[in-house]
Amino acid sequence: MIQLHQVIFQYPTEGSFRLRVPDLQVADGECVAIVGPSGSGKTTLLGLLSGILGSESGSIRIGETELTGLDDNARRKFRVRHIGQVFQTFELLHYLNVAENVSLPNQVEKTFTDQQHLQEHVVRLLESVGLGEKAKAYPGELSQGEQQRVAVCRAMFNQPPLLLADEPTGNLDQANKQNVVDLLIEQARRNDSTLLMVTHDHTLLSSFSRVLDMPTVILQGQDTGGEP
Amino acid sequence: MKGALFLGWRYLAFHRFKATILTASITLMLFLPAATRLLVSDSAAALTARADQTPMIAGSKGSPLELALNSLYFHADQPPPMPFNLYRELRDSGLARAIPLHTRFHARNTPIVGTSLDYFSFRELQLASGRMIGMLGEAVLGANAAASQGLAVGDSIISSPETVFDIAGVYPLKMPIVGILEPRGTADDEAIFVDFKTTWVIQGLGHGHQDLEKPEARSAVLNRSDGMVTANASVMEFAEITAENIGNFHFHGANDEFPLNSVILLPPDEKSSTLLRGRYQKNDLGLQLIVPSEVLNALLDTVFTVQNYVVLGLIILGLATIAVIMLVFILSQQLRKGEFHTLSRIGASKSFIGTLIASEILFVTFFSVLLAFALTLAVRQYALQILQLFLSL
Repeated sequence: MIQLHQVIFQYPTEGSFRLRVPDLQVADGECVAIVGPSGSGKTTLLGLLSGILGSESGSIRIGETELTGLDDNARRKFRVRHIGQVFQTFELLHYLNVAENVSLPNQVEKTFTDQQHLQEHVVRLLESVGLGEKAKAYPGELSQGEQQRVAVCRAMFNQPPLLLADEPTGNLDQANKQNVVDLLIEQARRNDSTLLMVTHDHTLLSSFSRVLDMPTVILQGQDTGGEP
Repeated sequence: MKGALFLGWRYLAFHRFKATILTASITLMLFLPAATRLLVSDSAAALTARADQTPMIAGSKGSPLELALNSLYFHADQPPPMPFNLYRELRDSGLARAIPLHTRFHARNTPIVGTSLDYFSFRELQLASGRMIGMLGEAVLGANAAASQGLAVGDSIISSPETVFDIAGVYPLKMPIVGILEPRGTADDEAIFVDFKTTWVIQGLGHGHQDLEKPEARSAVLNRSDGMVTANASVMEFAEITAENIGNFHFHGANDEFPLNSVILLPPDEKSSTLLRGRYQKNDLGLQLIVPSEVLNALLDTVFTVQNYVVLGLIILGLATIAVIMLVFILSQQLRKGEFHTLSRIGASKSFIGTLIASEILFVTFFSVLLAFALTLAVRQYALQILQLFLSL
């Protein structure tokens, strides 16, 4: 369960955007789309959930962990182990091959010490997205769709209970957009992860179990979506 | 920590070309000043060591440096020849042991050093195999000269003609190898030693041919009058001196004027040395007396002065290189901001990213230092050969 209660966040610059989330709950295993106009705080919300940003007040609870009670370093460690993230521009490291990109979280914070197990795990992840043969390829040698699938594998590396995706389909054509959404939802379900995905594309919303409209979340403290 | 080092290593491995250029720049920046200093100091020591063992050299007036380098290393330009009678005068002065040197000729690019047996005892040269020169025309080889040409006792070596088309010039002489010297790590290892009179035969001042008094040589005789015999071109000249034909070898003209390059002088004491200088340093004989260590020290003073300017220039160049390398790193970090942001969002700490950046600098610096160290060691190993190559010693 993800619970946000009376969360207030403001960027340090004076007069900048201020986010206030009165109350928000997402159940385990839910696949939620977050929509809203630019500047409505979608990315900021993901930043708070991932622990990249720390709230001024209120409570952010992910599972049993109260994020607002953790310092930067503890939130960072929590993020590596418990939160998978997929970004709009994939953000693969060009000098690492596919397998090394997928296991990048393990370089940041060791979860696998046995190389054999690590490699088996990476191969399993890549095979689950149809990239088993591309383990040694470099990002520059992959299509955009393949790169996004690698990014999904990297996000799933630590089998996180929470998967955050910030407009992961923004740079893709329509066919690939749906493929990536399907893949995210499939991976989340396979792993019993909760998925929160920011998107501007309303054609993709039907794939999600719930839609959060950001202005409504901020103003009324509750979602307006429902089963699509 | 390990993860950051791994990423740093992978970044450099992926950008091999850039990493190689950076490594090469830093390596050269470290290596060049170190190598210059090492080369000069080691080589100076090696140069002066041989010069210090040679108290005095006499030769015709000309460049003292040329005289010193030729007499010590056999490879430098030839000093003007000095007549044999001056050697005799020095020898008979009773003020020094005199060792003649005649280094004009070569065999397969190896210098032929015409000298006397005194040279071997003076330089403490020992035989590794065979025996010393016992007869005109025989050769003893330095260790490297023999090894590089695959020659051994019992083989022969032929002197190189100076000009192919000069029919009156130097003819090749086949010289049997009777001994190979122990290696000494000096210029003696690279030389072919013969009796100095053998070099006169090579020069054509002496020669051997069939006996014109014998009946079988009758057809070669053009004229006999007043004890003079004139022969035609059919007379058989010997290209090798053997025990059988050595009696037929003779020199034409007065050997007082026969050439040498120099004479090594070994005065028994300071007094003799001073007397020698007094008698021969200023003279009308066209002779100069030099102390090789003084000549080489004068050369080295110039070398050290030049070295200081070179090192200063290299240090300035090194500082400029450091500035450029820093600029490259800073620009590289700017370009990689996105990558560091991604790592941070995944969960990398600031120290992780700092270690990643530092590891790349450390890897490049480490390999540069290692390479510079290895190159400097190589220079130390081959310092003398390198200097000989540059100075044609």
